[in-house]
Amino acid sequence: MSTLGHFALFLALASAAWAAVASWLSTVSRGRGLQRSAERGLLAAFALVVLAVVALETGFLRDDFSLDAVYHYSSVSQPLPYKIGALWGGQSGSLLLWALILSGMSTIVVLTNRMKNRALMPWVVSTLGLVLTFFLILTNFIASPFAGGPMRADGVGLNPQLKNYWMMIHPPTLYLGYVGFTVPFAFGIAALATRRTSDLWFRTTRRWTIFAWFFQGAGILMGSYWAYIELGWGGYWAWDPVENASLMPWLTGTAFLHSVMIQEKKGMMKVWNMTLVILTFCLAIFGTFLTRSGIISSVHSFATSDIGPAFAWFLAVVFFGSFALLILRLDDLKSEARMESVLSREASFLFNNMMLVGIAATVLLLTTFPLISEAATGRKVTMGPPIFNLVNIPWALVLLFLIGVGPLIAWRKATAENLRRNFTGPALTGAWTLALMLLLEGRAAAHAAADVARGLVRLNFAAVFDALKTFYPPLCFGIAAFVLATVAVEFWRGVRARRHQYGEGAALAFARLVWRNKRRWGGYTVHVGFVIVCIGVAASSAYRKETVQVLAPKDVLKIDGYAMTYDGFRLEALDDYVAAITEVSVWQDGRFAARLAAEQRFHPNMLFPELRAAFLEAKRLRDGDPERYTAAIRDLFGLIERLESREGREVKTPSTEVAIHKSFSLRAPQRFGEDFYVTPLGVDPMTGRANFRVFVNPLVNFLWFGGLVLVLGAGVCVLPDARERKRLAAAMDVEDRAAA
Amino acid sequence: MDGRRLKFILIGTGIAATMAFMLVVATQKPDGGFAYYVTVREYKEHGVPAGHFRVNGKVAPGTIERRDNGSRVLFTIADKEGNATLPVDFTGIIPDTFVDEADVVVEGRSRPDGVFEATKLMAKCPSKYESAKTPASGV
Repeated sequence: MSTLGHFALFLALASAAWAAVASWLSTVSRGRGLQRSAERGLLAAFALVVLAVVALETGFLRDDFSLDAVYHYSSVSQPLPYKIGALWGGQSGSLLLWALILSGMSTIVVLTNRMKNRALMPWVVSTLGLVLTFFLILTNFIASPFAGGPMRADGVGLNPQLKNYWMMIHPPTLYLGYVGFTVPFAFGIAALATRRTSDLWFRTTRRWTIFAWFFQGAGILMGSYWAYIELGWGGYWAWDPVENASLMPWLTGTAFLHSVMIQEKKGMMKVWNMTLVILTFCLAIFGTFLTRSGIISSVHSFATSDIGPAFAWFLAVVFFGSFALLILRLDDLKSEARMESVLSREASFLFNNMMLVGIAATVLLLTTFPLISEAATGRKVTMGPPIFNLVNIPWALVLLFLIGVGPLIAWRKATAENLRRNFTGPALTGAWTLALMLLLEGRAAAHAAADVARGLVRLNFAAVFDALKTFYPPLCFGIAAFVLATVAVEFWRGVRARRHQYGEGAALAFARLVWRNKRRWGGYTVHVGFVIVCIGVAASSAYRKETVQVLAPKDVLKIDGYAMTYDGFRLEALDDYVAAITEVSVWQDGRFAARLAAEQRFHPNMLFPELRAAFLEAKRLRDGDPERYTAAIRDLFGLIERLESREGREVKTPSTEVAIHKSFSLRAPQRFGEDFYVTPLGVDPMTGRANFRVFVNPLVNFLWFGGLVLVLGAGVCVLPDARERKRLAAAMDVEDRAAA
Repeated sequence: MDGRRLKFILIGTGIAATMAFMLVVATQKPDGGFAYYVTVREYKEHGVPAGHFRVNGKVAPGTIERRDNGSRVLFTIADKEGNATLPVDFTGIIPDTFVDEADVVVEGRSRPDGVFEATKLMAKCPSKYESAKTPASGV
């Protein structure tokens, strides 16, 4: 199997390289046959990469531990879904997945453009082929997934923390995002190379861009959710380099999605759009690089590896090559109009772009600061989360505000009438919400205001920003109310107009309204989702409560209106771990809410034969006498202790399963969307005395719910749309006539 | 240059300048997340430096001593060659990946007694039992 995989990968590389070269040659010699051959090369590369993936998956399913990848990330006892998912548990497999997705997307691009965009296609195919070639060089020569050694009896197994449903679908989702940005990038490059820089290149890839943006966003959310339920610290975002890596292309991608609208309508910002698509692609590559090279130390990143220099070279070639091409073509990218007023839709989109790119640049600077400072001064300096928060939160709030302004403000120049008509109601709604929230903060807000004033007088800006923190949540809620009101007004007006004009019922009018202009109303839905996400983030980070207490069975813990009784614990031996499962009852404001089970697991090191035997023995007793079963597990704990003192090191890997009670009851509206989050830090297997860390996270479920709304909105945006098709056809006509 | 254009340039420059200013304020804040990143050896070579540090090392096998029912841990980190070592005292959430020989980063500062008091503990463990590839003799 591994031989087959080796060959498939090598032939895939040859096909991809042929596609890149032949496609480029066809632009020089105008050989149509050559171009067809290049496109077939991409298709062949896809088929061969699929073959390689099948070969590797067969290795995982057959427990072929002579393959390094299988040995490191799988084991005999690993459940089937995790054997399949272990493919992207390691570096070489992840790169193979990249190649698989990219070649799959390239195939779709080739197949859907057989009859159209023929002028752009040679360069598109060449660019896609080049990127694919790079990833296949990596998987062929630097990090081969088929590298192997002698056959081994059992594998090391996937890190227990990665054995989570979300962790299985999170990397492929994120990769669909990372890789998806390659398509608009390839069309952008083709547009530049062929000097066909009208709006065709991004119109024809609009759905690709939304697709990539959507998966990138969904991937980020899944990663946060995984961190939330798996890492046991009650949070979901830590400005870790790998998280930042995924956020940056999403930010510039968002900017790109918005700024192309200005080019569509006004023929402005052409250079800027090219810049954004190049930056987004570079950041996607850089993101993969950061995640996989370990160049910046991170909780997630893997051991430093050999792919670093190759990535750096590739990134440099893409970055400088693309911008050199852009500079050569500056004359073709002249703006057809200019900004007329600060109070206009163009300007609000421009500012939104500045915020998004500004935040992305800040994140990039802070994330890579250890490298920069080392190069400059020889000392590595790292930047922690407080710095990210201080700089980014205020700008995120401005951005949130612009979400409300952008879609409603008039093009060109807003009149006083336009502003009054669209913004009076929403502005009042926002102001009232803000005032109410400040009132609820009460004395804290007054103190903070005084601190801000004092800080300003003394020019102590650090103190100013510290004090401002108190105002961020009320501001966030006020602005959120403003944005939601603008969207509500829009929907209400649209529905009312249809009811008047066509005499439709409210529901039908609403459905048809959305259906007739999916892009616009899908966009509004995405905005609403984003606002809900912001509400969840603001509340759960500002108003979170936590405590750590040691409890014996029957003890009670109290926090923020909750009471938690520790009912008891039991010991279990399952899959490949032993667990102390604690059972607790949760009472919310005096009312019984839930019974939860939170676990502390230990994965014994199966490479010690006596440990393996004791574990299997305990597991075997599971269906028998409960007392003997429990005694066997207690013995196992004793054995672990003895082994550890004898070996002088740990022979188990701990993992924690948190328990969460989500409040969605309308009987306690003030707690709607709140989580009661329990982590057992340590459980004594004899007495059951346990150390519990408990969090109360208000509104945190708004974050996940807002994510779902976002998904729904993006889904609406990519549905086939008659209006969009017409626009695209018109753009192609213009293009063809220009060519003729 | 006309007034409109100037206005846009001023606003743009203003936004960029404010961002830069906030970055400067944020990085100058004491204990605001600014930390020197060093290896154990580098940390030891500079004596016991004052200030906030992130120290990278490997957990010396057998030194993990879990206290207070798992909310506090005492351990020693060492550099790859095992020459320089640093005792660490950490209270907080101990990541599941924190095991013998795990590659860890601790953030905090030294106490007068030479123990490094960490407020943050990050551990990465590329795969579960790498250290046990060759089980010790007698196993």
